[in-house]
Formats: sequence, C-alpha cells, structure tokens
Amino acid sequence: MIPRAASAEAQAVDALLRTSLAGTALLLALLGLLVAWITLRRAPRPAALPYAAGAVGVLVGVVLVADLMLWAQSRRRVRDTAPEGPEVDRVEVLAQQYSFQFLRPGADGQFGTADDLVTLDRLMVARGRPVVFEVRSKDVVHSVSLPSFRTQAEAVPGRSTRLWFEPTATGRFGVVCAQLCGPAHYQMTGVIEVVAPEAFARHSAQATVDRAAMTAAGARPAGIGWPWGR
Amino acid sequence: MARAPAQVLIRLGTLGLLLGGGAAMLMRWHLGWPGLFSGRSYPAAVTLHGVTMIYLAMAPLLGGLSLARLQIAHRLAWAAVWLTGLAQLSMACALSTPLFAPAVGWTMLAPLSTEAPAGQWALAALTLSVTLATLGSLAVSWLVFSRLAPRHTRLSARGFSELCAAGLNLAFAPVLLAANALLLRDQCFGSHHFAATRGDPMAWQHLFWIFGHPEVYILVLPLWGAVSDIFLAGLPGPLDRGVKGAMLGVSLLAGGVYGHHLVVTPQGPFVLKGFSLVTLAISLPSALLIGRWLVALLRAPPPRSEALGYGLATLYFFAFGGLTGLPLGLPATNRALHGGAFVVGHFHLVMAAAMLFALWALAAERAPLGEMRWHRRLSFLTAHGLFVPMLALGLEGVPRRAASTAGYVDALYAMPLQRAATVSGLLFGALQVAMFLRWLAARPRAPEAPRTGPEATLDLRPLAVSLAIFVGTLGLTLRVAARREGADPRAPERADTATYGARLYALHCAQCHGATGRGDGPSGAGLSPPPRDFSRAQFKYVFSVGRALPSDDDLARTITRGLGGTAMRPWGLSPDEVAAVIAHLKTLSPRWADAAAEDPRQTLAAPTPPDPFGASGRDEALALGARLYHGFAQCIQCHPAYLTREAAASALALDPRQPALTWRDDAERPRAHLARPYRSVLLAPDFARHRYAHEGDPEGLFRAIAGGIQGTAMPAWQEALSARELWALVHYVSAQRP
Ligand SMILES: [Cu+2]
Repeated sequence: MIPRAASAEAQAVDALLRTSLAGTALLLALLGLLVAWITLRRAPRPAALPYAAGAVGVLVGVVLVADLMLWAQSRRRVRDTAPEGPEVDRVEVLAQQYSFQFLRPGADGQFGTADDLVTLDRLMVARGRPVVFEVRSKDVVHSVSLPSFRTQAEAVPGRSTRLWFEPTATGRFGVVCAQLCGPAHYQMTGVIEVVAPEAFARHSAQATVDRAAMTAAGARPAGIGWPWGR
Repeated sequence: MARAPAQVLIRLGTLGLLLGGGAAMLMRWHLGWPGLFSGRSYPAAVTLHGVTMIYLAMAPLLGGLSLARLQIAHRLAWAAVWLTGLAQLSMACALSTPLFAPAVGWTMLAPLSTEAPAGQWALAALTLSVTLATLGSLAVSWLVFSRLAPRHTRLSARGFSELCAAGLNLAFAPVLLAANALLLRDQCFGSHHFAATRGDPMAWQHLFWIFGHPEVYILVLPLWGAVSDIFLAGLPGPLDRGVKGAMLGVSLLAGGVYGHHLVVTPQGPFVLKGFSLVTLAISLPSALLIGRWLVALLRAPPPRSEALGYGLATLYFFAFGGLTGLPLGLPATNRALHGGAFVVGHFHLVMAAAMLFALWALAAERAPLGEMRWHRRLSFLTAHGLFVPMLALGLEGVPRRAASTAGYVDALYAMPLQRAATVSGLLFGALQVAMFLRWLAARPRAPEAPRTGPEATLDLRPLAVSLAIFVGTLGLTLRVAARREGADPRAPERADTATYGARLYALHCAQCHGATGRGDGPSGAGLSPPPRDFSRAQFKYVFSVGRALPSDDDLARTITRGLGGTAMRPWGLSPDEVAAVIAHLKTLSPRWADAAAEDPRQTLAAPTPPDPFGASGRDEALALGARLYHGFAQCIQCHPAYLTREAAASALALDPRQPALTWRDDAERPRAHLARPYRSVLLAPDFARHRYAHEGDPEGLFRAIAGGIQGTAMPAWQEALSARELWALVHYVSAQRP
C-alpha cells in the first residue's frame, strides 16, 4: 500500500513506520481482545490483581522505552538538516497558486544569472545524487510534498525552507502540494523524474542548449533565482 | 428551570453535530464518487465541517453536559447559550455569501485566510464560540471551587477532568482570541500582522497551534472523565488517584506539544527536537490513564450496561488514536505524513470515533435507549472501515483537503480506498442518525434531585484569578504578535516588471500566442478564432473613446475574465502579474510606442454606468431592448435569426416603422482568411445558439456594445444610444440564451 520507497530517507522512514505501525497493531489487538473479554464474559468477577500498580508501571515503562527507541532510531537514521557540499544538486523551488517552478543555477553554478534553467511542474534529477530544495512561496502557504521520497517542506511566503532527499530508484514520482492553498489546490501537482546519472548529464547539456536558443535577450525569471541560502 | 440553559446548549450542539456530520457525509460521497463539489466548494465544505464540529458542535455540547451535571442556571450559562446561537448564525452568514464560505480549512492559515471571502463571518463564529467556551470554563471553575472550598467535597473523575479542561481553556483561549483579532484587523483594516512582506505568516501558525493543540484536550478531557466515572463505578472508597494524575499530566503537557504541527515549516532542528520529545512524553500519562482504566475494569468490574459497552469502545479508540499519533510525534516520519490523510484518520479516531462513543455512553446513562448492542458493534466496525482507509491514504501520500485524488501519481490505490471509506462512512453516519432518532424519542430517567442554592456559596476569588489569567494572556499575545508587524528584511525582491512579464508570458501565453506574439504558438494552430496576433496590435475590445488601442484595464479584463466561446480562458493571475504581462504585450508591436504619443486625455477608459433596470425593471428593459434591437439599432441585421420568424415578426410589431427583415441562416464558425484583421472571417454571433465573448458578463457585454469591437463590423454605440438604452440591449441580448 505504501508507495515504492524512492530515496535513502524513504527507506529509513519506512523502517520507522513499519515498527511503529506493527507495534500499534499488536497493542491494539491485545487491547481489543481484553476489551472483548471484559464485554463478553458471563459473570464478571472481581480479579485479585495483586500487582496492579506494578503492571501499570510496567506498561508506562514499556511505552517510555518504545518512545525513546523510536526517537533514537529516527535521530540516527534520518538527518534533520540539509546536506551540503559540491556533490549536492541544488534546486530552488518557487511554489505559487497552482504550480511549482524549479530553478537550477546552470553551468556557472550561480543562481539568478542568464543561464539559469527553469522548469514548470517538472524536474529531472539524477539517481544517487543528493538533492536539496530551497523552497519559497510567491503567494500563500503551500507544502512541497514528495510522497515517494517520504518528505516535504512548507513554502511560507517571505521565508525559505530546505528540503532534501537522495533518490535511489529511477522513475517518475509525484510532487504535490500538501497545504490547502485555494480552489485548485488539488490540481497543484508535478513530476520529479529520476534518471540514471548518464541520462541526467545528457539531459542537462541539451537543456542548456535549448535554454540558450529560447532566451530572449536579458530575460530573467522574476521571483525565482534568489541568491542561494539568503 | 435550573436545567434549562444546559438543555438548550445540548440541543444547539446536537444541531451542530448533525450539520457538521452531514457535511462530512457529502464530502465522503464526493471523494468516492466525484462530482458533488467543485475545487472551490470542496474546501469550503471542509472548513464548514471542521469549524462546526469543533467550535459549534462539540464545544457547546460538552459545555451543556457539564452545566447540566453541575446544575448551573447562572447568567453566565445563559450568556453561553446566546453566544452559541450567535456563533452558529455567524457561520450561517458565511454560508450564505456568494462564494459559499471561506474555503481555508479550520486552521485558517494566513495569508490565504487574509483574503478569503466571507472569512470575517467564520472568524466571528470562531471568536464567539471560543468566548463561549471561556465563559463556560469560568462558570465551571468558579462553581467547582466555590463548592469545594467550604465543604471539601470530593470531585468525581468527571468533575476533575472538566476542571482541567476549563483551566486549559482559560490559559489558551485568549491566544486564539488575540490571533483572531489581529487576523480580523488584517482582513478588514489593511494591517499586515500575518502578511508575507511586512508581517509574518508563521506568527499565525504559532498562535493558532498554541491554542489548536490544547483545544483537542479541552474537548477530549471531559469525556475521559465521563468514561472514567463509568469504569470506576464498581470501585468502593476513594477515587483512583492514578486516573486524576494522568489527566492532570496530560493537561500540563498539553501546552508544550503544539510544535509538532510545525515540523515542515521553516524552524530550527533544535526547536523541533524539543517539541517532538514533549509530544512523545504525552504518551506516558496517556498510557497511565489507559492502564488504570484496565486495572479498574478487571479488579472491580462495573455492572454490565450499554454505557459500559460504549465506554469500552471509547477506550479502544482513544488507544488507537493515540498510537497512530506516535509516527506524527517523530520529525522523520512526520515529514512523510504531515498534512496528509493519515493525520485526518489519526485525529478522527480520537475526535470522531472515541468522542462519539463516549457521547453515546453518556446518552445511554441519561435515558434508556433500548437495545444498543448492534448499533455499537456495527458502529465499531464501520468506524474502522471509515478511518483505517484514511490512514492508508495518508501512507500513500494523499494530502488532506484535496477535492480529488485523481492527480496523485504515487497513490495507486487511492480510489478503492476512498470508496471503501465512503461506503463505511455512509453506513457509520446512518447508524448514528438511526440512534439519534431513538434518542430524540427517549424519556430521560428521573433527574437527580437539584442541589439547592449553589449561587449562595459562590466565592468570587477564583473568578477573579481566572479573569486575571485570561486578560493577562490576551494582552501578552496581542503585544508579542503585534510587535512582529514591521519591515521584513527578507522580503523577496521584485525584479523589474518587463522581464517579469516576459517570464510570465513564456509560461502562460506563448503556448498559443507564440514566443514573439504572432499568434503562431504550437497550441494555437487550428483554433477558431485563432489566437490574437500581438505583433499587429489589433484588439477587439477597446472601451476608450477615440482610441485605437485598448487601455490597460481593457487588456486586464480580457486576461482575467477570458473570452467566452474561445480558447482564451480566465487566467487566475494576480494584479501584479497581469500588469507585468500587459507591459510585456506592449513590447510586441511598435504600434504601442506610437500610441504613447496620443492625446493622454483619451486614454482614460470610461467607467461603466450602473444598470438602471435591475431585477425589477427587467420586463421594461426587455421591451425597450427588443424595440432597439429590431428597430433603431438594427442589431438583427448582423446578429442572425435566433427566434422563429413568427416571434421576430411579433417583435417587429412593437415598432411599426421597422423596415423589412432580412434573414441569415449562414451563421457559422469563423473561417480562416489571412487578409482579415484577425486572420479569419468573423461572423456576428447568434445570441441564442453561439457562445460569445461576454456571455454571462453584463458589464462586459455593455462595454462591447458601447465601445464596439475593433476590426469587425460591430460599431461603437455609445454615442448613438444612451446608457439606459445600452443596458436595455444588454438585458435583451442576455435573455436570448434559453
Ligand atoms: Cu499549493
């Protein structure tokens, strides 16, 4: 039922989800049986329960240990800040009613220059290369949600948010808006295409050529192409 | 008399439950078998459901139950009744606005909510309801303390839980009231508290959730208390202290967990770690509560009753809801599930399933409702069928508040899951309605003997303390939040308009109108009429006296309203964006530069005069319009047959001076003709059969008739006809479409 895990983060998150959901199912089944027994038994007789207080203490302790284990797992396996470095594929994302604009810095590695590559509602990324989104909003609050990569970040007007994932599977995956942003909110969707690194290199080269052919002199996208990290 | 305000509150709350539940059923129907709602009305229904259930149903219902138990007939109680009525009326006003309701969700995130139509009404409903809850809390705590202090009466679990809820309400309601006041100021008086550029949208999210999360406990605690009393009925002697301790623990932690609603917003990881730990910590008193309940049930089983059955179901669903909250407490898994259907399933297990079963437990205690076993069992099953698919949808990545799940490519099983939830949900709803009807007919058991003279023993000190806390929090929140308004150094810079416009043009327009504006875009081929060629700067809709080129207003109207019957659709661009696109359009033809030299006095577009006829003068308008159409103006000559010949003849009889009628049967779609201004032969539309540019837009139609359509045979009539006559024609033309 859960979509294919398409990023390194997704595998870790799925492991956590499986643990907590399996625990939930187990505890609920026990509780259900207990409740059914209390409801259905013929003649309710007071049970002695000599260690009642201790039993409750054990229950609370078990919950405490489970909480802490899950928390430690989640801290160990999923990073809570964006990765940095030259190998990181940096993309600016501008959410607006009702589309996503993606901007790559182009060959010069600088955002806000003439060779920036902008795409609307679609983005190609390379398998195995960490991607960091810097997310902003042009109008209202949106959320850039990547279900198959198991992560998302809100786009809040006037602020920047970071979102990161390392794609591990090739294919076409959805990017959807997960925050009510107006009447066409449910149509605010796009596609992230993960391709093999060689195909990505070919695509980038071709995109640069296309961009050069299409660009009207001096035309620069507005609202997107802000200095990275500012 | 002593019970009256409580009874009224319970009735009003039940009414809210029916309305909010009805909205939920319609939404479920739409999600399973789409078509009932549009993109605009669906979020409106979501908002209606959320706001009604929380503020206009559960809050008054719980208040009423608490007042009924405490036998309060004080003026405070009557004030609560009036406020509930006003709040519900206010929500009804929001519903009756043309756009149906503020479609912003119960979280009302700024800046979407700042501009939401009818947002004020929903905000008013909220404010009234929260004020009501605060009043109720004051009454409860006042009364409880007054009774406790002199007599050292022991509180039941329910009394204790109501006191906890009242305390939470007094502490956190002012935060929402202050936030509401600021949002209302943004909406109505142009302040910028929660705006992106001079205020801070995050401030709203903080303020909302500071109240919003404790609100869950405010609603849940009294029902925990109620089922505790049922479970502990068999226990002799003093009350189980563990239960009260657990409820107190939850109440104390309740204020510190709201941050897990902000995991995916721009926050430092340190803040999030802290909040996630407190969120996990709240599972400890919850486990304690459930553990003590189970011990009580096993050690001293209460007598079997319908109420006990419902209480056990409540226990189960509280546990279910709590356990599904665990992945939402961890930032890593929260990031995957945030804002999705999993969250909806999770809190509905607590707020809908568990609370409803608890309410039935209370109802069964108050009045004999007959055999309820099957209702309980079927409700238990269908509640799973309703909410478990929601959890699964969330795991699939389906966002909440989405009018359709069709576009979510990752969610492979969305539709079967939605339908399963819909079928179960409708069954669940039907079961509740059936039992509700039985409840309406039931006679309550003999009421407990009313306690005498509670007012006589009222102590003013707790009231004063509560009021002081309330006013203090209110003032502090207003002060802190108001200080955030000001210049924002991080406001995104706006590039100059022309390049911005070029980018927007490339995004939205070039597909049909072509990259250079020649009307030769890839999607424009074969369109009829063809896309406008901007390099010729020949425009149809120019409502400016003596001008060849349209004013910015004229262009903006075409962009934002579209042209009926053509591929030009209404574009949902902001005024800034429209201005930028227009600036770019003007670079596509040299005619614009020449036009700049025209007499500036002529560039002012004449304002459209108001319709002098209105709805009441419609017959008069039609009569005058018909005379003009067939008579003086001779519209009929070009706009062809739209009536039977007999009808036209009888229309002619209105004006005996009318010349003979020529009949055209050749009105067809435009044919391509490269030499013509629009590269096609444009025929005047048949108003009865064709779609035309300003269909359903009286003002647009007025402008087209008054200003004419350039490049076609349609002349400007504003010199020849008075405004009154022009409006009559608008009425007449509009009336031709059956
Ligand atoms: Cu959005």
